[in-house]
Amino acid sequence: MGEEIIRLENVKKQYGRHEVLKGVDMQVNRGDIYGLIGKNGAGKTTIFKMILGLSENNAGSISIAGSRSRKELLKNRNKIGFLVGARFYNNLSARANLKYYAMIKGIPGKMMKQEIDRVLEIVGLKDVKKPFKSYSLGMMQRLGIANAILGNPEILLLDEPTNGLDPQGIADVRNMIRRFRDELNMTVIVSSHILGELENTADRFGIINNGRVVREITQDDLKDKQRAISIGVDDLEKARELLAAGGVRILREVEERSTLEDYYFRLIEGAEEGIYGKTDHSGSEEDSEKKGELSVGYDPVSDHPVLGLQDRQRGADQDHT
Amino acid sequence: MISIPVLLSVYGDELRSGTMQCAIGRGLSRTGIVVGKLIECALLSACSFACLFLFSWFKNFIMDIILTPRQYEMLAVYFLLSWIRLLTCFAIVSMLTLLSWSMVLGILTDLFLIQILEILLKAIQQIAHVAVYDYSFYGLIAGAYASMEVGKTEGQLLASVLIYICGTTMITVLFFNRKELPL
Ligand SMILES: Nc1ncnc2c1ncn2[C@@H]1O[C@H](COP(=O)(O)OP(=O)(O)O)[C@@H](O)[C@H]1O
Ligand SMILES: [Mg+2]
Repeated sequence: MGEEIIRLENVKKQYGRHEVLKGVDMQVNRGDIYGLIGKNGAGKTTIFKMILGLSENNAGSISIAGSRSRKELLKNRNKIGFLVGARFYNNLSARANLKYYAMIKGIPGKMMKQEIDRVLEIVGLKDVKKPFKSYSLGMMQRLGIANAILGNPEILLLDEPTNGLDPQGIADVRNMIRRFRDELNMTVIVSSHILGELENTADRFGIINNGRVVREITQDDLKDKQRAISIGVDDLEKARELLAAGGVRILREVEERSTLEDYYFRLIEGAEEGIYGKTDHSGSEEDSEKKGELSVGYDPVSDHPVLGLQDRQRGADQDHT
Repeated sequence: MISIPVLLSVYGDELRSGTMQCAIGRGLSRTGIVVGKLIECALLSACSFACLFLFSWFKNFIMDIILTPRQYEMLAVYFLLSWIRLLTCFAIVSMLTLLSWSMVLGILTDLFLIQILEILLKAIQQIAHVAVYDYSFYGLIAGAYASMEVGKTEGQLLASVLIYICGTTMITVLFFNRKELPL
């Protein structure tokens, strides 16, 4: 389905003299899971706030579900559910907390219990009776998500829903996002500062940097192009020499082992250089005995083939074209 | 006396819990919210004052105090004016609460308005001979009551109080529409 459900055109925002968004163009189609990726401070939350009307854009236009006027925009906002930085009542159960929000959302009294049961079931909190204060971080986030889907909205905005969660929590959130789209036919926009976290979840990604969506990539781009081969290297020094002799210039050496996050940040920031390689740390024990690793792959963000050289022992990471 | 409870029940925990953002995020207009809050306050406090009025009537009945119709009339007028006064305070408190996004500031302002400001303005007027009290909504309302006591109806004074309420609400709407809210 190609029907456009959210469109931002040349949206600008500045706080005082600080220009946060310098003209964001973004389009999300019905049924998409759209990943908004950018490092902290890139403006992801600001984009969400403007879609929701919690912040005014200084220029540009926003359209929701084909709205053509401000009035339609306001009206169509009721199709959106979102994760608000809600601090739930500590002493109340999930059910009692959600009741409060169900009232705000105008869910009729008769249907309230049924609707709350439904969303709690989806997020797996249905049988949890204890008060909110004894929840784990993951459970808190799940309750927030339950609140977001309360009332079965067509569009769901999740601002960094995986923030601060452990790997299991992250996986849970990812699974839920896919279920929302596949089973509840929602359109989901989800942000993260780590592309890797949404790699297998979103269909399309907007990479936001320096106030603009600098690049859009699809899940297919990732699948097709990010195949990499890795070769174990016994002697890193030797490999370095050989590469140099072969005319491959080493552009950068990094002391600390770069995390996936650093990797994407550098991709986003230094896209024009196109010199970074992804390194995979999930090697077996046998792998770790190797002195280093050489990997060749294709990076969908920078659109360049990449070659990575990594020292498994020291964690050094060198990249070059 | 009923100002703080009314304030708390109108705003409750909305700023902290994010329900106001929920409402706005779901398409409620901000102007609607500001005006809606004022109406909510008007209804709630009208009910409270009506109850107080009935209660004082009932108390007199039990205690066999007989008031003349005229006295009852003035009692009703007193409650009516107290209601208008409360509404004016609420409009001001509402403005500060929404624009500062702080319930604490709202409550403090409310306390200041009902406990301190009136006395302060009176004192300033006494000392400096500037009619700050007379033209404040306190003074206007007191003036209206005084004139009604001697049998005149001072629509003009009450209309001026209305300007206070409408003016404050308009300022609130104007600025609140541009206010950045946390997600
Ligand atoms: N209310 C505000 N006033 C001033 N600056 C703000 C405000 N909100 C956000 N910013 C600034 O805007 C930039 C983008 O913030 P944000 O959208 O929260 O980024 P992200 O969600 O991608 O981490 C940051 O540099 C931040 O400091
Ligand atoms: Mg953010």
